[in-house]
Amino acid sequence: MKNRLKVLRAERDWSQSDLADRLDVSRQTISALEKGKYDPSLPLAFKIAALFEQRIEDIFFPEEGDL
Amino acid sequence: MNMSISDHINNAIVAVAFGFGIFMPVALVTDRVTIATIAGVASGILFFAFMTWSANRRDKREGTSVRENAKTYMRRFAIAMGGYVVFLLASVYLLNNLVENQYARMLIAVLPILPVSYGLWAYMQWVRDLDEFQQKIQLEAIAFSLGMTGIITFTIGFLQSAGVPQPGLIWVFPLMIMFWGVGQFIAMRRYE
Repeated sequence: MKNRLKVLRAERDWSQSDLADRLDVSRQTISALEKGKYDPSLPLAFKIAALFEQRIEDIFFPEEGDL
Repeated sequence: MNMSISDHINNAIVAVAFGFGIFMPVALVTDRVTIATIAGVASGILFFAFMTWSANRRDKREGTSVRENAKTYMRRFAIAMGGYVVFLLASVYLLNNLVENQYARMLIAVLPILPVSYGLWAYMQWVRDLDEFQQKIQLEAIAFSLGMTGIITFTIGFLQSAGVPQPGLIWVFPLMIMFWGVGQFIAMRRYE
């Protein structure tokens, strides 16, 4: 799964720690999410979407093999 | 945010107790209490230096709730490890000097299990409060530890049929914890 987390975060000038704090997760988790090495659960994905005021499918994109 | 003095004291207790805890079974088995104590405390101090370094690194970058969970865990773990050392020393002293009754001796011998159980409870509370990704890392670390400890103890068990002398069961738990640590390292590397 690909995502635009890094871009969205940069647009708001947040550090990984800032984003982690707002989502109530660890910085390590943000790092793994941004690198696409870990896909969030549905509740966390909704939380991310709500924070950035976008739809989940505008933030996360399935890659080939994901579908 | 830097660590407070109480955090340092807390970590020092955990570290020294941890080192001590690793080497104390050596003292019990070989009767070399002084050497085991020195080795335990020395390794504890090294472990403390590493913990302070890594906690300072982590604390600066983590959010409030993550830091709180880690701190609560370290505080409880310090109580568990500190209690472990006190109970272990008391238990060894009583067994060597005072108590003759076999049932009383059995009860005293297993005293250190009380603080260890508290430590297990603290670990489980910590895992419950971790976020989903960190829980995944714990799962992989535990799976690794389960597998490795199982294979090694199973292998040693089978070697018994070839007449190989068997080490005591007291080593199974430290082995498990060691592989849990290695497992965490491997799991974290995978997602870096």
